[in-house]
Amino acid sequence: MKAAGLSLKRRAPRGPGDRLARPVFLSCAVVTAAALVAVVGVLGVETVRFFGTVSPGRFLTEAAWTPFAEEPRFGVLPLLAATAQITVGAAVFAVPAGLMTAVYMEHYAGVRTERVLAGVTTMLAAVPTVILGYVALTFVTPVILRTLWPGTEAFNAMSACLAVGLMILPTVIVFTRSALRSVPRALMEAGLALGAGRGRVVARVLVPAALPGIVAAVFLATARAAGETMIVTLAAGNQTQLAWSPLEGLRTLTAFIAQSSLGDAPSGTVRYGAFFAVSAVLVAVTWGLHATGSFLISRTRAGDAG
Amino acid sequence: MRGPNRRRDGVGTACGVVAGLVAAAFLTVTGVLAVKAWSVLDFAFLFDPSSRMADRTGIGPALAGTLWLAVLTAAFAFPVGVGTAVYLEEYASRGGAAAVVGKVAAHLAAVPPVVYGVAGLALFVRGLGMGPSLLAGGCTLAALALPTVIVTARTAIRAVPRGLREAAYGMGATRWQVVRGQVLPAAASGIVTGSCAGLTRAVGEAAPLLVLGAVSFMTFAPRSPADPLTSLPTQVFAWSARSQQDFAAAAAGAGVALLLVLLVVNLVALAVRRRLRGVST
Amino acid sequence: MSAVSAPRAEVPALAADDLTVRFGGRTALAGVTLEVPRGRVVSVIGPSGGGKTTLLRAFNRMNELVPGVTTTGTVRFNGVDLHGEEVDPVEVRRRIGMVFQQATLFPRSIFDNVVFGPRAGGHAGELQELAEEVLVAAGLWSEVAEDLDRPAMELSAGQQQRLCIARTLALKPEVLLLDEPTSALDPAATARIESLIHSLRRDHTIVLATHGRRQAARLSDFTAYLAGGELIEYGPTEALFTNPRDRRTESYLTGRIE
Repeated sequence: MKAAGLSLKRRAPRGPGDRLARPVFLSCAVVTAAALVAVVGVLGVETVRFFGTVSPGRFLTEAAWTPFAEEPRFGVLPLLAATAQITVGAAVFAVPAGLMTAVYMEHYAGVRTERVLAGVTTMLAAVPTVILGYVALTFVTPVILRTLWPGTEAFNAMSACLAVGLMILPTVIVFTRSALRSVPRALMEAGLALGAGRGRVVARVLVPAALPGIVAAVFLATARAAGETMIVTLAAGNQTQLAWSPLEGLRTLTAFIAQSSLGDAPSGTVRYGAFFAVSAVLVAVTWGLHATGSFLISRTRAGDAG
Repeated sequence: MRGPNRRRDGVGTACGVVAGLVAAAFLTVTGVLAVKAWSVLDFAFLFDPSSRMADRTGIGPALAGTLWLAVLTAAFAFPVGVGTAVYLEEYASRGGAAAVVGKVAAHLAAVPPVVYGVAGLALFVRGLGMGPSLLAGGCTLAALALPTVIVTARTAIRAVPRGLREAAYGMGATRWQVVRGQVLPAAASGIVTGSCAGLTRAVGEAAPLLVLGAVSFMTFAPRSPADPLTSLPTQVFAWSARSQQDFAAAAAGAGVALLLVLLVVNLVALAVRRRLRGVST
Repeated sequence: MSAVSAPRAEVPALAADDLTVRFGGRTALAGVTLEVPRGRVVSVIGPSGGGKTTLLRAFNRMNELVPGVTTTGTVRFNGVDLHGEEVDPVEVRRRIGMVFQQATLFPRSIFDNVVFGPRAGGHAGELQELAEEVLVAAGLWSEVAEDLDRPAMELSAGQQQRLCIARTLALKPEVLLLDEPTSALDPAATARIESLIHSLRRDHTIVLATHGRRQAARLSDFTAYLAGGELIEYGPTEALFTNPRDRRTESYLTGRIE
């Protein structure tokens, strides 16, 4: 072997992998950054342009959304209210159901049952929402709701809420389970040792102890519900009105975007900008909910560690 | 007495009933779809072009469109997403622009899919002049899947024990040798799982494609990415939204086909993971 | 077949001068100055968190892999500044081999683990021979000769640590940095590693971080006592153990500080 001497200089020339790896990975990151900037940028630019024509005050206070009328009105409130209605309605179904399913899986189910339920949760999460919308429209409304309330409209909020609730169930279940699992086992055993029944310990000790994580799960799930498009478009219909009965139809932020054939709106028009303004509102709502949920989760995790 | 874990009480019974209802709801969804689709599902339906007559129509173009979209999305989102994750975890210094990219990507995973459609219309269909084509759809779905791929790949890479990296560096391995020889093999299974989740979500989406201007009536199957944008999810939507009851069966048939495509994607991922595990031990 | 064109004997193998290492706001090493003479065994003893590992990792530039680290002062290897402009950290780590406290094997075969370093360095020669040579040196050959293709993870803890030493030897390093190599092992396995270290001292300069005072006394020529990131005392092992100059060293050696 030839003496390497005292030098610590690079000896063997590095292979092409070593020379190319960093620039290749860096260019991937640059492409990602460019995509992020482009997506956020185009939404921002078009929204700002829209607000150059329609004042934000009108946008947020006017009570009608008729962008295609002769005298268009751009009040986002009806859409926002409909989104809120659907989101809350879905949560009313999904949160208790998800919580109870999670409790059952964590504390009651045998290994087999738990595995089956976990499989169902995973598969449910993978079902495209357009399929849930289809089932809401062709089964939930005509077969279930019309049997219970014969006057149900073909498009109604109730069926959409049920289907959106089903869609967000996996999110609720998965995050609630991890919250329940983070409760120390000793707490459960201490409760049982004091002679309390299992059900009592679960309801009075475990669920309260896991509550921050469960609240986080609710925020993350509602963030998805607020952004859901196909179910509400198919099942809740397209009436821009403030609906007061859950058996009537309504139109959400997302349904407006999906149904109003943005593709026909010429670039640069106010009509075109309206889609971006509605998108911006939608992003703000879902981001707010999601960020709150993520923050709560990171806080509960930090609490565990400390 | 079986195990203490199985003991029932009021709370347990109630929770058990609800869990059963959840499982029943899932079975109802798949059941309704299968029953409604029963009358139309045959080979001709899978390959025939669209028709104005409900009993003659097929999903040939939509199925081909979805396969094109899956390939395009995977081809764009996987390399860029995994490459970005590797760069952020193994090459970039902490803080600075890289950290911002990572954070923004994580937040964009929460943006509703339909919003990607709005951005995609402005960027790809109009800005880059792709028109409402499969290519524009693939780019949009890739942008939609990208945050999921990045976030899950980063999690998988971060889960690789530090000792493994240090042992390799300590033995005079270069950064690329550590990444190629230790980090990627150890993280591969997680990366595949995450990429598959991103792809599954993207391929099942109808909303962004609808906004881009997907067509639901095509007499030929798309043969190149420049052909008009069509897909199974948007086909399900188009046929469901029609008032005629007769297209309901066709919509369900397209839904079943969509579920089968997703199943195949997941089975492929499963097989890849099995192989990876076989190789690494 | 030494790879070094015999540097003058008086140049120390390793020399730290006013070496300070900070991780974020925490100071792990504070102004340490110490020389490791060529061909000798130097033990670094002291309480956990005292800076032993950081000092060893400073000797082969492993600290810089930790985000947020800052290093000041100099470290010289055969008189060459390790942080000099033209110095390649990869080359540094090949010449100054390290064995970690936690035996971390690659999830591959025994053979693949042994030849990892040579392969990474583009070794051209016969790997089989090299593997046998270093496994013999590590006292592992008789136990694994028949099943080099077995997954390395199936070995016992003691064997795993000896395999870690073997794969570091395969780099043909001049210096061996051993970071508490026996802390996770039972007495029998510890004894084997100790006799292995004893046999390695013929061809290597060795720096051994250890929690065991008696291990340091048994194995080393010089001993450094490191606490709170400071080098409290450094000298010939026998002198330090029988007649410590610093009260803090004395309390540590008599077991009053853990």
